[in-house]
Amino acid sequence: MRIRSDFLFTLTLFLVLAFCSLAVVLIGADVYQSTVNAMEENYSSRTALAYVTEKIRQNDREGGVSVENSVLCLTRAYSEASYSTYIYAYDGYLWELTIRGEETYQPGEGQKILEVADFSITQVTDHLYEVFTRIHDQETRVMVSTQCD
Amino acid sequence: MAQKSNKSSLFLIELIVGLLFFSLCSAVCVQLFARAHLIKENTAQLNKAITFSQSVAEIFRSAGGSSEALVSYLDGAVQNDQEILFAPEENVRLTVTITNRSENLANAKIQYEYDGVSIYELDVTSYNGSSSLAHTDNGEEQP
Repeated sequence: MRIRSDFLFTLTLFLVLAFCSLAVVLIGADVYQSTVNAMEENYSSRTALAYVTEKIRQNDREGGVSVENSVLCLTRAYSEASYSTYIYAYDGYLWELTIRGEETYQPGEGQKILEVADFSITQVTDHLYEVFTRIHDQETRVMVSTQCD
Repeated sequence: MAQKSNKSSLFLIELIVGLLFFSLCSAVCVQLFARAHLIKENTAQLNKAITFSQSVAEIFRSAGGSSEALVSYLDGAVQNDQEILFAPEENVRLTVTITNRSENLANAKIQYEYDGVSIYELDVTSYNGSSSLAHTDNGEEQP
């Protein structure tokens, strides 16, 4: 009888050890996963916003930056010809497309930049733009000021 | 029979020693996990502070350093002499202090506080002239 209770105690102890080790591994995995998710969301949203902000700053000249229906339009002249770069959200991605002059375009003709759930840009005042991104559940908004009209 | 009991006792002692060692290791691991979680939360808050402070700096620049324009943009902001106080969220307080204002230049310090502790500070300069040295800012993470 004593041997049986010894065996049961040992078995219970072993099961407790196994359960606790599993719990520690699961807690660690959960912490690691949430940290990786947060890093990824932060990286994606900051990259998208930094990209758009930089593009606006590069084209900060008279008539260089405009917004139409949440599409950022950057206009530049090369050898007397005008080229427009459009940055927009389509099909779960941020896209960029450069075409000549006022030619029409299809959203899928551009180049994929980054995966975004939502992206929009609005002109608040003549010198201020609001850029919004949503990546997974993280929504980020930044303001960008320009020098020229 | 006595030999079998002795073997069982030895296994039990080994298991108890193993369990003690495991308890110590898991206590250290759980502490590290908790610290990692805290660092993640602080980093998320710092990222939020940086993004928000930069947005306020951009509004300050676009308004040409006008504190009145800044107050009108920040819904619910209160102006107190050279200071603009704004609480975008619970536990968050943003203070914009106009440190210098001249004909062409306006300097401000943006301070982002979370739970009463300053976590990010940003100096912003708005230049209203035609020089290419238009704006500078220098963000600093608070210790």
